[in-house]
Amino acid sequence: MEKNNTGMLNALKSVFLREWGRMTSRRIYFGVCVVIPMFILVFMLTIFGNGKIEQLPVGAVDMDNSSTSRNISRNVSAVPTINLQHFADAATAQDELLKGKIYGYFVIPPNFESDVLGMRSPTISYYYHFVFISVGNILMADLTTIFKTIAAAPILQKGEAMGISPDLIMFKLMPVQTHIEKIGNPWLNYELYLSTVFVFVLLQIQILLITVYTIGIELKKRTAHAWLKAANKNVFIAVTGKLLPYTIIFVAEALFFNVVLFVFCNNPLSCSIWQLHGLAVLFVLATQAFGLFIISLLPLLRISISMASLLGSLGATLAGLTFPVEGMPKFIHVMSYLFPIRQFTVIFQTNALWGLGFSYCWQSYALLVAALIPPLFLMFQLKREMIYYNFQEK
Amino acid sequence: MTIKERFKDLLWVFLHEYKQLLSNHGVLLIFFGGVIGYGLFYNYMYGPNTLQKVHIAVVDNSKNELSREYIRMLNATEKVDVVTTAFTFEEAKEALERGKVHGVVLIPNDFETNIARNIPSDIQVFCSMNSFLYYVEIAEAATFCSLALGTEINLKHSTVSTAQIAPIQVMGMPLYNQDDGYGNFLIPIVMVLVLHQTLILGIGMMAGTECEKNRYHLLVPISNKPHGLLRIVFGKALCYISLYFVLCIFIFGLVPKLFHLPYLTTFPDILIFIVPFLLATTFFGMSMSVLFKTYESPLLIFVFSTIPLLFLSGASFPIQNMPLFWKAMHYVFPAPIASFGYIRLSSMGASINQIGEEMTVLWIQAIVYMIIAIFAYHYNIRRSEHIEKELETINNQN
Repeated sequence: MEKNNTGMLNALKSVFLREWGRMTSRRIYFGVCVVIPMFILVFMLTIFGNGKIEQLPVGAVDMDNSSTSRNISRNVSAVPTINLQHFADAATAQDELLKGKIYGYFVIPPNFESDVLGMRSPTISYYYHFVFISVGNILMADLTTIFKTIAAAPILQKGEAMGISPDLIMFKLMPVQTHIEKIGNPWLNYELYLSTVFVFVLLQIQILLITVYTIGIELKKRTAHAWLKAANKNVFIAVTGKLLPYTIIFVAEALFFNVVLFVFCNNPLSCSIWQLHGLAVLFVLATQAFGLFIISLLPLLRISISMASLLGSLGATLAGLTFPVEGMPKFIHVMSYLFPIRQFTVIFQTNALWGLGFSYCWQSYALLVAALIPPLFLMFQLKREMIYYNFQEK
Repeated sequence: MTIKERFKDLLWVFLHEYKQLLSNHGVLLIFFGGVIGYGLFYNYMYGPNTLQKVHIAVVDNSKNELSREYIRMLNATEKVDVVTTAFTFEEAKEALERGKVHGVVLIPNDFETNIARNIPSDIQVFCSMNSFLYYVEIAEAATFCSLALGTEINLKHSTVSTAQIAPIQVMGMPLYNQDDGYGNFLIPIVMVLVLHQTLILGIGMMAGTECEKNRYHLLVPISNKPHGLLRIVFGKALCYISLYFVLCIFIFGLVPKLFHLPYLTTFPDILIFIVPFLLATTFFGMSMSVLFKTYESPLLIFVFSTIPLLFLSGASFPIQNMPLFWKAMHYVFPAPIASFGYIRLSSMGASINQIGEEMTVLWIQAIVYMIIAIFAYHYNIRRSEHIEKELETINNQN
């Protein structure tokens, strides 16, 4: 029994070292496993600037040019999310809007001040669009707020002059007020919202691709006999030994991501970083299992690597971070349960953003662990392919 | 060589490339499966377009006519679906944490009494930020209903609303994508990206296959009929451009009609847009392709770039707020600039003139990448000639 164990460990070691030799012999492994993940981290950390959407170019068309209208423009300009640019007329502003230079504009009609004084109730029109959804929603909220305030100002003034209490006037203007509390990300910070998950979305693409590649290339180049021999003809040892170097590298990178995101970059974290580290380990393993499943099911590199590309890219959508999976067609919603990245996102949000414990996301943990099982059933098919090369092109 | 001979040569390269392409099943899968498959699949996934009926819980501590009216109004909006009027705030909070609801609306117990005493009454809304869309839909619904209820209250107390006597009227209007559709926003960008990525991947994979087949792993096979550098580059480019032109017509012309996507542009404008986009992407792909020695390497290296390119387009996060380096990168690759232009073309009805900046950049890219591709192939041919000479020397020595 002891001899068997030593034999197994030796076989594992020999497969591991064989794979290490293969990995270090070609630049592409270094590129896929190290260079690209580091690039991903740098990209996601820097693309959103300081993480906030602010100083959005908005057009002002002031056709009155009175002190009242200039005051209004000044007030709008003071909003931090707005960067005001002046245009002579609505047509120019509309043109700039279509050119993508401004995201909205407002028009103060001619004779505005005199109309206000003469109680003729002139209208300020403001325009925005939802073609760029995040910008559109922010502008809509901020423009609505500032213009409501602007419209309320003269009423408040008049009321005060008439001796009516400002509270009563506020009541008349807005009897019911809503206070929105944004749980987990009150600052609407894009880095906290997107980068923290997308680094792992991109990492899982690399994990899937290299897992499929490293096994598929042995089949394509017909070097699988040497691989199996090093593993003492045990397919489980063969696969474990082969994937172990990548597990180590990707886990190290995932832990590094966590430390950079939450320690160096000071993103708020509502749970212990060790919870995230544990999640990262499980996630890397589950993704490798997913990749192993793909290549074992279709032991032809050409097809499998295209499948891995497709499914990895789908991960961005199925993580449900941008558009919730519950809002997608039922079939897609169900499919998302099979993707490790979706479960990762659920666990991450529950633990890190909400500060809730294991009991709130145990189903997702279970799904991640369950992901390790399907490839086990295909190991004998893989072993057959490693010996007979049935699927490979002649 | 006469002009006619040169032209025949170009045609030979063009047809040879097509022959290689049609026998390479993996690349065909990427080209047709990728474009048509993703084109249809993405439209299916984002078919619902807007997030509707977000589940929320309402904790009504007031329990009177007014609060019930508010709840009725919330239910009437398409945006939210009041799943439960939970008994206590603790229970609602638990449901929120369990993900059963994505928002909790808390109506305080002094809601009606405050209104009766002419004091503004507060409604608290707790939103999940797991997806910004949850926040958007819930906040909009709650705010809208608060305003509507407020107007009703005012009308009850007096027949004249403040709006009617307001010195300044304000009117806000959404101009495009009025129903705030996520699909309407994302799909045009993804369509451009799918074309861009599949074309570059396919060109790279073709180059990789050619390298693998060739003994000395060179892009342009030696010991073949001698072809001029330009004829090789343009012959291959013509092959990809001609094929992808058809796919572009499918994506930019047919898919929007099939899925009722916003389509405020004209077919001639689309054609004018496609030309520099295709040229820039093809030559960019060909420039990159000389780096790939195997069939699989383009996939290993490029697939991840789809998401960074999507962010670089500036549609989800504005370009103005990006650091300078990424602002510059927005102009370097064809996809970000093309998708930023295309979405305005189709979803806002911009004219070709109004996406003039994007068109200019794409044309410049087309020329720059064409030059780079020519140099890259030139380098490759030189290397192959050098190796051929070396082999000859070795052969002669033996």
